[in-house]
Amino acid sequence: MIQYFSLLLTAIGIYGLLSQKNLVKLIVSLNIAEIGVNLFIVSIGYIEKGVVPILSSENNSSTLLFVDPLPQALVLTSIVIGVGITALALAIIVTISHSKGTIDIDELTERGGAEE
Amino acid sequence: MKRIIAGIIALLFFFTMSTVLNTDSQTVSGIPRYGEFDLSERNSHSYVTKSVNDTLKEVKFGSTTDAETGSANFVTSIVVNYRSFDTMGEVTVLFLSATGVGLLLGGDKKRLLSPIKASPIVKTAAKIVSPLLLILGVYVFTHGHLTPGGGFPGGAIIAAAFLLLVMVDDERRAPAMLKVLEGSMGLAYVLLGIGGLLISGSFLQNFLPTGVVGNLFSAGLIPIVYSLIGLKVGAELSGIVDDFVSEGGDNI
Amino acid sequence: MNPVWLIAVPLALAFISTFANKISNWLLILSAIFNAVAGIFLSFSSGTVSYSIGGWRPPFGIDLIVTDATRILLPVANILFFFAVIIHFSKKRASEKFSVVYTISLASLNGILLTNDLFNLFVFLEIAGVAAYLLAMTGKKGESKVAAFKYLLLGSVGSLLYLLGVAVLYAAAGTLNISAIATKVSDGLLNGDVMLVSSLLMIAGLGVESKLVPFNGWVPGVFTKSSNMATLVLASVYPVAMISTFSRVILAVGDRRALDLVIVLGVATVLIGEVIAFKQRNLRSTLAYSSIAQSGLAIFLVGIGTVEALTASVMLIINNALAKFVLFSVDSYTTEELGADDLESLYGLGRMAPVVGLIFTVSALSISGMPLFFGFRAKLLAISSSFESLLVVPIVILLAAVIEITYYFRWIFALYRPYQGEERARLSLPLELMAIGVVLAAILVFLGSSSYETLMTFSKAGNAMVDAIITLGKNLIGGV
Repeated sequence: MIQYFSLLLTAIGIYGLLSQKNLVKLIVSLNIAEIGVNLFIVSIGYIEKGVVPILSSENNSSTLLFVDPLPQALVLTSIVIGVGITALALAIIVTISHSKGTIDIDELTERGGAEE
Repeated sequence: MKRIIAGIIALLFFFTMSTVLNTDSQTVSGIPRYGEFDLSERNSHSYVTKSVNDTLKEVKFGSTTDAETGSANFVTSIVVNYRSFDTMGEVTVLFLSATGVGLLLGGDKKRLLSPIKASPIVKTAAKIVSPLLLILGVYVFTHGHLTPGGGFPGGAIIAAAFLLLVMVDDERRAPAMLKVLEGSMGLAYVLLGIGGLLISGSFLQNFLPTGVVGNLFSAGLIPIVYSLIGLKVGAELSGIVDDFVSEGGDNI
Repeated sequence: MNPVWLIAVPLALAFISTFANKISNWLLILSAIFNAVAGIFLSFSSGTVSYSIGGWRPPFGIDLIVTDATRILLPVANILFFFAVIIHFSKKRASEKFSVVYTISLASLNGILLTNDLFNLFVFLEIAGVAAYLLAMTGKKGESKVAAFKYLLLGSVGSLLYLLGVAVLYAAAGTLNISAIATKVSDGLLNGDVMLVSSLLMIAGLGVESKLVPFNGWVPGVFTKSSNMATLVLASVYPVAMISTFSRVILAVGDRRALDLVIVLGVATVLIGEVIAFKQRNLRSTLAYSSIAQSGLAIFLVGIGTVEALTASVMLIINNALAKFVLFSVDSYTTEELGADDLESLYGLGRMAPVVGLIFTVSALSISGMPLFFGFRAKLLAISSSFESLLVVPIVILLAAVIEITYYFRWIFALYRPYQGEERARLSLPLELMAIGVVLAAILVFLGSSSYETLMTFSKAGNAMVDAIITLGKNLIGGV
């Protein structure tokens, strides 16, 4: 079930990316889609009755049934990359709104290079 | 009209993806049903049993010595050892974005003032809480091989301590040393990788003893690398916060 | 020599330049020189070799592979990058702000060409992507930012879809190593529908950077609005890595049915690119749309998938990289000297600066595929290899070639037409541009007129595209 929900979340993000006009809303949509993908990746590593993939004094042997740690590692990487992209995108939006006075994608394309 | 097309594309995506779920069968492998797959069919089995290069044997918490990677946290063992090259790339992406934000918004200009004045109680509390957060961040990244967490969450906590100070104090700026810290930590990571290449023959290979699984001083390079990453990420995210609160920019 | 040096050295130098801002230009030059020399050094040997990272044997650890195809593409990409750096720094106003970005983009392009791991490829694509977004911002103030934002959005969505494709493949195959997955695919161990969906996601994801048709909205904005140096790198060095990686991944882990889609998209890209390029009135946007068309040409050959087609694909990638390098640098020369690059202001340039005119003519002829030049050999092979599939395809390619020849000849004629406007100041002739241009043009002529044996190198590369990865995979799995 969670896999369907994560895919639905990605679909919502894609809908937002295709329909929104405000640059900040586009970045929000991108983040929603990203979260959906990350959830999907984590979900493919889940095993029924599997334990946390960390050896500790309770789960103290490697022969136990652990959930797949690799998707978690991948998601860690992809989250950090997402943070970097989001920060950069927001910085670009700030610069655009300073120089153009708008963050609406239609207005930006109409004006082209007229205003500076 | 645009919204309808967008909706159709999104639904199309959803249904296409849904058709391939639960497609695993005896003869050909597809995506398994949620929660039901055999770990031994995946590469991860070797990461969990620490048997990529070694022979398969049971690893016990607190007693096995010189196990592969030596990390009790399997996710950490993947992130900083088996797939450390990815992490190096990840650090580079974050570094590049921080550089970009700095180029766009940074500079020596005045910083933006917050519209709400913080009360003296909040100011004093922030000064007490932020060193504690700093210590928590250091704890999280030095124990990355034993507990959940590691360099990235630890770095984020450190940056949160800085963010707290920025929010209550209109004068606060990031120290200029942050750039040097950021660069030197990244350089140290690459140099450790080159050290592995020169000492053991493979880039980023561990050349330290891995110790007893579960000890603080174990897992070879992992705590060192995670400390480097923690400091680097902390410096980078603080730098991003600082750039966002500074006025204007260099106008590249 | 371990190819990881090609990634580690630029990365280390980039990190140094964060706290040594003053010498960061020199560090960029140093890394470009190192990589160019190392790239040439790698091309001396032959065969497929896998280098593990971290000492973990593949498919468990990440590995870098050097195949016969990499041995050609790697030196080409690194040397062109080096040339771009030389042209950039011969100017007086070279700023050091973006040196770090260039250095890291060099490391990431080498990583993209070398890595044999799907997720590692994602990471390197992101590094190259972020570097490219930053480079796209280097032009005119507001406009280049808007173009860069569009690029960022499309690029991030693309890599997101690619990541989803990788996740789907991992869920089915249980590994991320390209060779290991390729072996499972060729043994028919994976579900066909899963393969198809993951290939579609990967085509969409890698298609953004490879300028494939519905995903290439960023190209004109970025190529026309960003600075000269950035355009040079983005238009000549990036495609070498991106298009060859597209073919490597899609051929190794893609579904047969998806390859038909690649043909359709590739042919559409060619046609749309050529037709719009024909309509453009200034040189830079003509070249931008011509880049789109050339990528389409190289990519649809991947869809055909025979050794002959892939050889042609590699040849087209290299032809495009060399010729576009010259054309774009001549374009930036004219915008700097004459202030504009529309048809009328180019009149008489070929007479005032004969060497510039010559290198422009040679590159334009080679890219449009005239006999005697390298592009002719490549296009001939492309057409002969596509006859076996659909007859429509070679006809479309010929049609596109005719359009391409027409508009390139328009530019060449403009260059040699007498100029009748007001008196111009004498043009300064940059030595390094002419030297590099003459070298590249000479290579294009040499490869175009050389014997069949010289071209065997390329057919070895085309062969490696198909076989090397699967052979390596068989060895890996056999070793378990």
